[in-house]
Amino acid sequence: MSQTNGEPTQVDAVTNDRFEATWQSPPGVRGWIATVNNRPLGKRYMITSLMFFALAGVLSLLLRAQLTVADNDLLGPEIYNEIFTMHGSTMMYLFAVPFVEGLALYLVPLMIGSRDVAFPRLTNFGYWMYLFGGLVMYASFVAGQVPDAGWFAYTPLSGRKYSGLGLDFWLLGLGMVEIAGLSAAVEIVVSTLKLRTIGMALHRMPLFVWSSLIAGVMIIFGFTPLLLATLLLEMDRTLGTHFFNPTYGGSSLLWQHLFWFFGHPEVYIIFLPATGVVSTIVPTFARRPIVAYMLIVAALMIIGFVSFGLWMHHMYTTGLPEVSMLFFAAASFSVALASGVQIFAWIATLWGSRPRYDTPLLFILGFIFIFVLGGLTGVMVATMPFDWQVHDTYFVVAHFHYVLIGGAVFPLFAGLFYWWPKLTGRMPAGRWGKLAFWLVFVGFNVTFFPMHILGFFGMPRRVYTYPAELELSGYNVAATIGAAVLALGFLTAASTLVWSMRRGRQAGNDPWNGGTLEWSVPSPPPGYGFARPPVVRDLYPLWPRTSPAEPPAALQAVAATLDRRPAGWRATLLTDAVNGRPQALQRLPGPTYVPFIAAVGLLVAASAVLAKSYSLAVAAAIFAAGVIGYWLLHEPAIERDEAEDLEARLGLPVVASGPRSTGWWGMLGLLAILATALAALVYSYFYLRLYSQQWPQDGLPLPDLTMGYIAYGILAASGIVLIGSSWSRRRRRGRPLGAMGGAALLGAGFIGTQLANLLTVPFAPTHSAYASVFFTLNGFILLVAAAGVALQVGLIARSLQSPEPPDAPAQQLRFQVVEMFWYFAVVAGLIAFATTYLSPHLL
Amino acid sequence: MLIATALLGIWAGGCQGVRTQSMLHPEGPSAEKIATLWWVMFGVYGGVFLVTLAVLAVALVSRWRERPILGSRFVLVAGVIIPTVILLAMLVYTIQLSRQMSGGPADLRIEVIGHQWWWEIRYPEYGVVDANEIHIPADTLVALELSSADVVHSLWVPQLAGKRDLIPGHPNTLKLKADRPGQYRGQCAEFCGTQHAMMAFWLVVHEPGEFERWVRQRQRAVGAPAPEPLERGRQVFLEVGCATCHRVEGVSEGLIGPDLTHVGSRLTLGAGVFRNTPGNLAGWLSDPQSMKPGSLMPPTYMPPEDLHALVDYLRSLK
Amino acid sequence: MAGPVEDSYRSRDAPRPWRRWFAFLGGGIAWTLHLLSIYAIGEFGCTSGFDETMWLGVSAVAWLLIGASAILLGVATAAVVIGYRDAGGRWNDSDEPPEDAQEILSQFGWVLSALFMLVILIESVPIFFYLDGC
Repeated sequence: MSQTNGEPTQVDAVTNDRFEATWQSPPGVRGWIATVNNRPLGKRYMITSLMFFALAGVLSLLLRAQLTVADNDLLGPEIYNEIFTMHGSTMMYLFAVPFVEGLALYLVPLMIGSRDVAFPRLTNFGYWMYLFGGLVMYASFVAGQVPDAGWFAYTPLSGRKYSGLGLDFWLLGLGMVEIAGLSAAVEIVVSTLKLRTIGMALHRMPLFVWSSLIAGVMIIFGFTPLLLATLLLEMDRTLGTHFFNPTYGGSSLLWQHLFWFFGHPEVYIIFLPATGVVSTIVPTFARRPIVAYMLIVAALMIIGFVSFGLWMHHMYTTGLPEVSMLFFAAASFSVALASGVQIFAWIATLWGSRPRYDTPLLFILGFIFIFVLGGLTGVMVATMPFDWQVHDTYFVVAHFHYVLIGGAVFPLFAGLFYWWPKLTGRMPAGRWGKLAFWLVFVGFNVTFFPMHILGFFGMPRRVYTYPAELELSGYNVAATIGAAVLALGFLTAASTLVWSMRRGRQAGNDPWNGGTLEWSVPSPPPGYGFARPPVVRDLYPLWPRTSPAEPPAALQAVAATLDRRPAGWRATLLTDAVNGRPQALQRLPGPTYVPFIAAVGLLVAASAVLAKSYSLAVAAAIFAAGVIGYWLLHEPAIERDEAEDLEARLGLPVVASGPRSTGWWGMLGLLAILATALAALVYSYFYLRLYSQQWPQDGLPLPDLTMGYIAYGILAASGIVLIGSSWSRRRRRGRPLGAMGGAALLGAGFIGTQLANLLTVPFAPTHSAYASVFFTLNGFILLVAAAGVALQVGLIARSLQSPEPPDAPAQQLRFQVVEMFWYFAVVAGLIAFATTYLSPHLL
Repeated sequence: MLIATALLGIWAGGCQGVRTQSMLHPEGPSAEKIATLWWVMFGVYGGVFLVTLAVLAVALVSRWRERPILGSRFVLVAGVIIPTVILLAMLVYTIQLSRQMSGGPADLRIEVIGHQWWWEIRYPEYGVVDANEIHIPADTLVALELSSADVVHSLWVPQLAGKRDLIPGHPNTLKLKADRPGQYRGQCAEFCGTQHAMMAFWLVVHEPGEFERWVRQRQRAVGAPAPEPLERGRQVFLEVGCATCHRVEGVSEGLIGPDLTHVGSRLTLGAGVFRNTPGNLAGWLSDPQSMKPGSLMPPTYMPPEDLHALVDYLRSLK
Repeated sequence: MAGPVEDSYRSRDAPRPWRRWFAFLGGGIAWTLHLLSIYAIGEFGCTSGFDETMWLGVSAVAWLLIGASAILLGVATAAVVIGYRDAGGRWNDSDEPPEDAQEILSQFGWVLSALFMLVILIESVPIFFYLDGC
């Protein structure tokens, strides 16, 4: 039985061969660079991140060696600080999040029964950005300028007065990795919403898919403030702005707010998909559906929201108002409820199931033990007065290793052992897997449990040594021994997995009797995953049905029609976000070098900033933007004949527009990112103002309101003209293109006027923090407007070159996304105007 | 088992009685409240941990059943309702504790300014400037006014109170009180660069009368012309460059490093790191980078007799 | 362009989609607005000294906090009530899933919104201990 629905394929050999050829990636290095398929790229994400994990693990062993005895001078302070910075940064940015993203990119399409993700070229681009970002960070070792301000890089220590070039490597590398994270997030969210197979309604979505969906949304809102903060700090360091420089009116606490607004959700971005893995493995080993599915989804949603309301509990010692701190303590308490729900749902599922204790389940049970402990110390740490004592001590180090290793790495290793047969086609050796588990479990607890006590007895974090008089050596020796055992355990796990790739027993499609769709396809799956879209009626489509109802014949027919079709070009089925009803086909691009070239352009730009040749950096950035423009203009090709044939047989359009299409949702994702960045900038503006004696700072003049009215008035007018364009397009009257041309012209007028305004302001962005935020907020709008005008001009040029009727779905979609972007630009502009021009006059 | 180990470890640590930087050996009301809070949380959440694991164990060993006997209702009660009751109780307890800890008006104001990697201590009410040692009277509520000259630091004396950050541009206050005289070690708790590890200090608590004596001694001017045998040391101090960074009242006005007006009576050197002995002082003067690598104090090359004179002079500044 | 496949689930007397989505997301949105407002009122109100203004013996900041909490608790409650009524008082725990997942939005949404209500309530507890200022 190769397919869920078990019907033999009815396609001829020619179609079959064409279908196979369409989904093939080119061989060799060319294919390696150009492939856009989610499975090889997902695997590559995971392998790369595991290599960074190993690297960071080696660094941590060096740290433990240094800390074993009091007054040790094995590494010395400089090297120790560099190593702990790289250990934390690698684990958080280069291992945990990318691994989770890779796992989701690999698994989500298989679990939802789609052939690929929504934006395959973006997957490719994201991977290269991630790899290049990691390489930039590690290039600091080659340059001899290793970042040394910690993974949190508190200002002003990370500013240019106190830190060297290493921080620039760190910031630029991190920026690239964040772009990769955002790409993968948009990808996963849109795929989950739009590419679920026939009948996979919201309540039939596997919990891993739910958790990836929510984590993806969280990445969009969480990574953006960090991306913005890293950009602002890099501007402080290279261009001389003063966002975080207290000497010139900046605020070092502003960095902490922006950082932790990302930093706390970050933990849950790692943790949520890990719980998704647990919720997948537990039912398989208990051989029964998960208990309280809906409550688990509710818990995931609550975590998705509430984890954004916890950031201040990292800042209890900075002297915030007491009542504010208690709000965040209360919020931190309530997020514990969501974890409680999941723990007891897993326990209820396992109750009386007499599970088989294979390696994946052992890692899950280890996870429950460690995570419950770490979660409870988390509630303690959120208890404000207690945190005043243990904040930045080894108690916290112990706590978050319990949560991150116990809460995320254990489930991820469970997942690796569980899905290894799917990834490689071979089973991992059971006995060695179990040995690996026990070494990891014991090693972990011996390493990190004593650290709680070290915290009580006064050992602060991030110290390279401690005096003998504090009598901390015993616990530290234990921790170092534990770390060695832990490392041995991970080594055993890795060798077991690698060994089984060659020697393991053949796995077959479904070695664990899993219930979700990924087990219905061959191991390892072919490039297209599903030759025929499965029709889903249950949460566990591969298990015997609980409800006897057969799927409607109409749905079966859609699936049968799409069996190895379209054969001439890549496509997958689009369904509606709630019920999974077929809506249209989604054409997908094949292998291409374009995203790689764009990523290389950005790598060159980052390297040029490091080399302080800013003109090259600007040129490379413009080049990359041009490549991305080329990419947007080149939509994947389709074959007319087959398209018309399928359209007739399916009764569905081959190209969709509006909320049915992935492009519309992708644009929404991009706008969510930009809106979050704008919100963070507006917040920064008012935060800086709150802690300034005088505003504008330093007796600077108030902004010229008249000129502001003129410039932003033109922008508003352009928005109104575009409403006209959209109206005439939908009524099929008048000339939508002409009206869009008018909007673009007005947009260009705004850019020119506002540029002139900014050039005539009697102070420079480097004057004070006020000047920096004034210019940056207005400059952000200028960039958005420039991108918007470019999109409008591109659309007009394209339409003039190859005219298409405005109501052709592809053309409609182009209009829709360009309009959405420009409406956003106008609204963002008005918000920036109200903030930078009106508010200092009015408030 | 782990918990038992932990208890044993903490208890054993308590018996040694040398834990000068332990939050579980409180010597002031603020730290005492937090230590109590810890033991309450340890009991409550430790119980939650054990019960959860026990339930898991029962789930794993219980007799095989075709279908799960527990459903959403169990999850709702065990995962939401019971935890809500526990957490609400703990929240109210936490809020009340925080209210109690807010303090009231302080009787003594001390300014603490963080530097990479030492502490500047000022007593504005007495006109005394000191470094790396905070002296306070027992049983008196003291307000430490915290600020930073460079990066973010954090002041932490675990036996007396929780920590509070020293942030440039954002002044902070930490109020604390000590029950009885003694010496309590404190340390910087926010990563602040190369020598974050060696940015410590001692908080010395005196009987109130003795504190007054200490203040009067610190207010006494050391006077410019040193007595004859020490005059050579004073010359060396001015010649080799100490004076550019360090202040000695009536002798030099350097502001970069710690004030040395009363350095002879300090307990430690190098920000709470080395005991103030003639040997350590000589080593510190000639090669600070091997004692505290990365410290901003440069090495000073001078003939041995000059070094001895300098050491004698500095030790005379009491 | 609605194909025949799509229409097969639609029923005429079903609640409007916004009611479904409000039941599903209303609690979360109310929570988000609640957190943002209590953070902003706390940070900006306490730092600017506004908490020393007293109305009826209660700090102005506390009044603002109480007002924001009451309004947003109301929004969350509305989501619960609407979802509960549309779901006919049922809440789904996947034993007998309905055919149309739109119904799930109500059946599941009101439970979710009720949990968010609980979170808003827990977060509002500290206000009543700080009626006299920050």
